Amino acid sequence: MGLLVDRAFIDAVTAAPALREMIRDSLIEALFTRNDRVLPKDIVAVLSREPSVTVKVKSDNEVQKLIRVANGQESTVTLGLPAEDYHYVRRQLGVSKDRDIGVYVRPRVVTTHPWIVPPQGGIEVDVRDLSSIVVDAKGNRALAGVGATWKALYDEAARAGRLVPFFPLVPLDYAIGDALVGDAVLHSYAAPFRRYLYGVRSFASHGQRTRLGFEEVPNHGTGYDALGLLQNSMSEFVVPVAMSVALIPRARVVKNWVYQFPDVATLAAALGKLTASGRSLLYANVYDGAAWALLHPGAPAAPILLELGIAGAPTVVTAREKALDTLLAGSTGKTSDTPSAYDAEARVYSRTGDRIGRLLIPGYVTAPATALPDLFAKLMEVSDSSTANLAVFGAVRRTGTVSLAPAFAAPKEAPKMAAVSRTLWSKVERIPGVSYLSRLAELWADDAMYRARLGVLLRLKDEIDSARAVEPTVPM
Amino acid sequence: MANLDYTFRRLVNILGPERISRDPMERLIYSHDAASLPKLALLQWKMIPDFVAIPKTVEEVSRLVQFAFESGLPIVPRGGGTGLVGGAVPNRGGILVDLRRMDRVESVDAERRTVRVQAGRPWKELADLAASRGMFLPVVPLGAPASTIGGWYAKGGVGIGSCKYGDARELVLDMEAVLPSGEIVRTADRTVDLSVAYANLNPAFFGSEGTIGIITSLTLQLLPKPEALTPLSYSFKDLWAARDAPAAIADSDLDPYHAAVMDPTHLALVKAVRPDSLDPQALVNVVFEGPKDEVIASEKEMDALVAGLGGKKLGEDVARPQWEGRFDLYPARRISGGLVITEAEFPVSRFPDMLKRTSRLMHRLRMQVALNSFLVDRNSVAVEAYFLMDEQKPLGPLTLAFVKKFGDVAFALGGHPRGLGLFTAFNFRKMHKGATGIYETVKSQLDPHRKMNPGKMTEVWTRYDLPIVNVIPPEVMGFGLEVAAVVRRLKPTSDRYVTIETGGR
Repeated sequence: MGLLVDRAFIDAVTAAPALREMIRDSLIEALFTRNDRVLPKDIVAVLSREPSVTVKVKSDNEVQKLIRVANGQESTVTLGLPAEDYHYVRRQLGVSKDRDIGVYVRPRVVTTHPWIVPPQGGIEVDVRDLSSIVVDAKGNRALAGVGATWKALYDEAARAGRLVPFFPLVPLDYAIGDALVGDAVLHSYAAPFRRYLYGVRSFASHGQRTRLGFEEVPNHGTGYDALGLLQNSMSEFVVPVAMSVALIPRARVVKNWVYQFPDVATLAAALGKLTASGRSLLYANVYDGAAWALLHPGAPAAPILLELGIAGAPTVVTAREKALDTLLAGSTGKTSDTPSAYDAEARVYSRTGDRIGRLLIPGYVTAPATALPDLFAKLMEVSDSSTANLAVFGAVRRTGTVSLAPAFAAPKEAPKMAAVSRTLWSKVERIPGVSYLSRLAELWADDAMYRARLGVLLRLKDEIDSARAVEPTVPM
Repeated sequence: MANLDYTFRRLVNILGPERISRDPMERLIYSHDAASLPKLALLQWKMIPDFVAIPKTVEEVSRLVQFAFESGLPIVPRGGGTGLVGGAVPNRGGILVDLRRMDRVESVDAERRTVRVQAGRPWKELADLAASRGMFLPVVPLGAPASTIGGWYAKGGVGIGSCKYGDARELVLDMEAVLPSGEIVRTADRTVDLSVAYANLNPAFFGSEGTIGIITSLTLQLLPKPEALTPLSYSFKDLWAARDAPAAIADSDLDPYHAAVMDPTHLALVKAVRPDSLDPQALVNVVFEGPKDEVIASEKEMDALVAGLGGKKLGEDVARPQWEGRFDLYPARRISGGLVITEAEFPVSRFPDMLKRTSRLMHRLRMQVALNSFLVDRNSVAVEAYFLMDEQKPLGPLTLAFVKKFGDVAFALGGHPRGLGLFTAFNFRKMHKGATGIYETVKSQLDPHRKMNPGKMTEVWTRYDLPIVNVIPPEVMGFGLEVAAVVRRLKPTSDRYVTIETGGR
């Protein structure tokens, strides 16, 4: 489920006379934490629903068939199930009942928390088996099923002598499709993920194959950037099945350097110089000592660390190394023998991801590098007030902004998540130039322009999903 | 529809008499963009606007849009008029909104390296302004001196610097736009890292060609000014000899700012106009920018790479003027009555195939075409094919068949033509196939009354508002150009404006 469904539901609920008196934020919190004592029964019923069936799909065609069943174009007979399963599926789906049957794609890994409104019956599609990865003959791009993990893509590209140019901000074992149907943030030092995403193969609500963007080249001068427009809420418009992403050549020299810093202020100053220098990097990741220990148990830590991915021709990298050492002069040490977490063996990477995934990550904070000391201080305040230890994962962009994902050692329970989210939001919003991005904050956001933009997207959803078969909105 | 005199008076009430025009000569000037079209096209489209409006503020734009809705006239936004597909040319007259007077730089934030600028400012002026403040506008169009900020974004901009820094999408943090309802919206939250922003409408306007709203101002991300910028030029025997250069550069571990391949035909055409310019030859122009030490190291690596491909390095006396002339690629316009430029993107690995197929196409259509190419990213190359067209000659306009055929070559090789507008909208369905409905939905939801630059991109309207003849089906438009290609092939002689002594392709 996604932003638009949640937002439409909340708007519908707040229009209900019984709930008008409730403050919107309190209502969102009550919905999020499933506070059944406060919420009316019919809302509790909506929040309690589950998908009628979960189908593990193995091919595109199966996804298409499921959509056709959901939109009524095909009968469940054509699913080709044995008689027993057929009756089970029919009964479970509630076929013939007067209700929309939606198709829902479940992300492999959710960084923060699931959306508020769960699937309302219907078909949950488990896409983990849509995991094929085909690197084209020249190695310029890869066509990956949405269920393929980012790590598998990274390893497959390496085998073909190429590099995946985008990396997860929080090193969880994401499926590549989680960037479209979940909340995975993929990024690089040079560019957002969108630059590397050429096209998405998907099915629209009427069951037709729909390719957004192109597969071998980016889209320029071909009409609206529909792919970019729908990217962050894609599964609310279409059901994505595969993505075409750009790969880059693996340079002759690829290095991973880690600089240790004594404090955040020194790091912030160094980042200011780094981003002003015009040096190219694959990634520039920021970790505090706790996050580093999670990634590299037993490795020497420091209060704060900067991990740089460098790739280039030997002479260029030599020049870059000298310059970086000078730019990052405030660092207390540098190691060049710690391999990147991305290069770990798949099983190890997955285990590390599991460890990190147990932490409570309420959202992402983006700030100019200069605001980092203030920001870290606020994060510590949140950590203290919620009595949960903090680990910080972050990524720097060429533009001079840093995105941080604070992770708290607290149980991933809805009330705790809501409390931490709210405290964090109230603290960081006061720092100039800082923005807090979380799914809950998206629901709190209520300024007129934001509402106007959401209104446009909701209208698009209603039209694009006119068969109401792709995560339909929930009427009250 | 209201009486035009009454409409004029109402428009004068909105903008004042000096910024509304219905002067025939002025309207004629606005009836075309950089594309050449035969006069015959006037039978099909009413390309001359009824009024030209020159707003200065977003409120004025909003009032114009609301008025257009009331009056029933279509409204067509226009930037620098450097488009190649009629995106800013009316098809049923109406109000043409020239945004070039909206060129104010509203604010510069040196700390965050952002600039807020009105949409009508030319890219070159903004790049110069950024440079004067110690910053760098990393991506600019080939037509930067005239092309406006909003216009190029709406065209789906990719250009100089894209190879390293991406396209116009990556520059734009936030925009202010007037929707067809007259509502003024901000398309994103400028403080958010847009790679993860929800409800970000910036992409809807990228490539929209003014069909869903009028962009009035933008917040752009700038970068620090690079320490050094070094242009390099390498000569090849002919274009075929340079066929592997784009893929080799893209596949290297170097990070050029810009890499372009120039056709000997192009240089011959330039020489025909400017006798003191470079002799015809195939040129590979590469530019590195960044820290001085890395630029020097990259230059040496590039020299070795191109030498391996058989290229010969030329001196700075060639490379520097090539770089300085990067915005002035088409002086050959003066040779003939018209010059047609068509653009497409190809996978870089198919560049040699593109050369082969285009060469075959040129011979079949008896045409002389120049191809200028540049790397869009590590995997793609943009090709600008251009030819001279004398629309006064009876068979001159038949050369437009090349535009269709070249687009087909792009599709066949895994790429796509660039630009839809009015003249090449027939490619739309072929481009997006099953996703066409989504694009049409974007238009119909944002402009349900079809008033904002209507009848383009997703459909082609004619000048006639009558059933059956009001729309040209894309297949018919494409078929017409196919017929033109067949007729063109019957021509006994080839068009040859310049002779190339190096042997050409």
